Amino acid sequence: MMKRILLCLLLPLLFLPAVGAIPVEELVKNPQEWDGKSLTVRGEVVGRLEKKEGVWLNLLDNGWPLGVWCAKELAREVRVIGDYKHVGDTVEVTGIFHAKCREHGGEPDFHAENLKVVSEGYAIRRPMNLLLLTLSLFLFLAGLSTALFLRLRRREPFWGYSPESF
Amino acid sequence: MLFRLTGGDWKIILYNLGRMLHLLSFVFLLPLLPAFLYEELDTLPYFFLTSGLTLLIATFLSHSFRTEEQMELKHALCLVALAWLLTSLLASFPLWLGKACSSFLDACFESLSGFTGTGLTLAVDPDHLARSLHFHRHLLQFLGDGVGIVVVSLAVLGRTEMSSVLAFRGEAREEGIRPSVIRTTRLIFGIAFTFFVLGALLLTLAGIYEGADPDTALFDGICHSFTGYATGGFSPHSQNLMYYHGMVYEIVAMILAVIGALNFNLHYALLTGRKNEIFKNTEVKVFFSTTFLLCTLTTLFLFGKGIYASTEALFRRGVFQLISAQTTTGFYTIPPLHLVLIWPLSLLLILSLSMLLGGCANSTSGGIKSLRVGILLKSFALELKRPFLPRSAVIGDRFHHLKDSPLTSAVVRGAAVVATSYLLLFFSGTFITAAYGYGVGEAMFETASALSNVGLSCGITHPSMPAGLKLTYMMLMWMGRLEVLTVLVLLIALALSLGRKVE
Repeated sequence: MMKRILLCLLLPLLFLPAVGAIPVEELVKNPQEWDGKSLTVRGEVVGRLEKKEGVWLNLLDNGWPLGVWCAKELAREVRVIGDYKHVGDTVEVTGIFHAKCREHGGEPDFHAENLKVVSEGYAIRRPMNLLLLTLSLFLFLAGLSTALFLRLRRREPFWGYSPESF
Repeated sequence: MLFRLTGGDWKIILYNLGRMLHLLSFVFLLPLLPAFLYEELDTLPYFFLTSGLTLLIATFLSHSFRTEEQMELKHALCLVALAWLLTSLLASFPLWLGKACSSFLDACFESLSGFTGTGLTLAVDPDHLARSLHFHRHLLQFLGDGVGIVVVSLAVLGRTEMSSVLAFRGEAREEGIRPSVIRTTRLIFGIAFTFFVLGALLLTLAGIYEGADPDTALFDGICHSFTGYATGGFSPHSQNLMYYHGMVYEIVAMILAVIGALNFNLHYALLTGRKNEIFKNTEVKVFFSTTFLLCTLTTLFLFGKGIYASTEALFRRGVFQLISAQTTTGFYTIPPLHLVLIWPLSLLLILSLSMLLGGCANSTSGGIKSLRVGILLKSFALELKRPFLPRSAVIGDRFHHLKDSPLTSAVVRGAAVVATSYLLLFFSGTFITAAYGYGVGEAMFETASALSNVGLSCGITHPSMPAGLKLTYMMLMWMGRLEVLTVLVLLIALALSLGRKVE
């Protein structure tokens, strides 16, 4: 029982921003202020690019994206990349923010020193809306049959085919 | 005597609009391919519904307003202006139903931005959007701006070649029409498709080189090739081209955008072996010299102010942004807000100027266009020369655009009318944006971007921006794509028709 109560009390903490994690929005809006500082960011991984010297992880924090440059060993922990069918792993990265990174062609980026997966990604179920499908197919077939019927009645060619062609 | 549109005129317009929509109803089914391929079956109804609705409207229009009358220029201008609006409205349904945008107005904005090849986006979460919806967004840019679907559909379905010739003029692509319009249309489509395939291939390879998995690289390659050639600027990622963090990908996209910004006739001349045309053509000279001049200025400013120190940074941020603006593509390699926060105001104005100048006439780019700028500069130089010559002297100049042509007052007047209308709209848009509380520099930048169908943003374009501003930018994108006059003709014709009804 105690365990359940404790779990209920701790569960909401998962949805709060990590203590000390700076929102990416803040970094994008005040780049000069945070330039060169060591800090922690948190976000969902929505992209992964394997380069020779390391890995780029593209993070998304509340709609604000940021490129995180990290060592291959650190990036190995990331398993799920976010897309239409998946919510990507949420990671907490500690490192240095660069408003105009000299190493990466002046790009605003984040060089990771430590990376931790705080919540694992998962697949999203996207069920088909059967009512909408039925309605849309009905509309499409109604449109198609009306167009064909009127054309055939007028004996007009449809996409180069006239009734005589059949 | 001003023309007024009678019932017969509207019949011709609406009948041809119906025929055009027939083709579009099938085009709206193309995203079914990625929907099946990537198993996004839940998105199928969006496309069937849009296609069915389009088909029903098309059938209603072509059946109810059936006429044997031929199209005239006034009909074509109104048809093209209306077609752009109606197509965007219909294309917004999948975006709205698929929750790509937070409201129907935003979905209309997104599809109009796509269809006009602008690239300003109100998509809520592009990183989690279905690939079929991304395909739909990117295809819209390729069809609307890359090949000009209105002309293509009239050439395919129109009864006479004249209808297509007139639609060409309405779409501001009147030059260099060859004796057979169907042949020209096929040629434009062929050129666009070839560059699309080449672009997709190169971008896929570049994506793999930059470290993306082949599946993502291929899909992004197709999407970016659609929008790169169409100088549109949409991307499947919220980071746009910054997603790839690599110079190779940016260079390939830049080359594709420059190709898209060059005149179709120039492509044709080069393909048929007339290589000298590229060195003689006034428009090409103006385009490359203004690009070079503005690139140099941008680089000097960025270096002088100590914003970027390395050559790589100056090229990937400064030169890339400038070329993206001048070709009216709208791909970006720095976060939009950094244009305001890190770059100085002077550079924002240089980028606005390059967006207004735009690419070449008869290409996929927007803006005033280099040919008109060249004509106006030549005319300006002539006027400067005039006081220093004897009164009896007859002076004139020529310009080369596929052939040598004299610089007549009619040519100068034509260029001046379009340039003036662009500038009037630019100042009006800037005034409206500034009235909503944005800075004048930012207002100029965002207005130039919407009007010239560029798509770069300094942060103003966002789902949370006021609805009035969204409507203003939609109007600017529509008028900018059709070079203002086509839309004005429709509005004046509507006003006169309504006036007659009131009488």
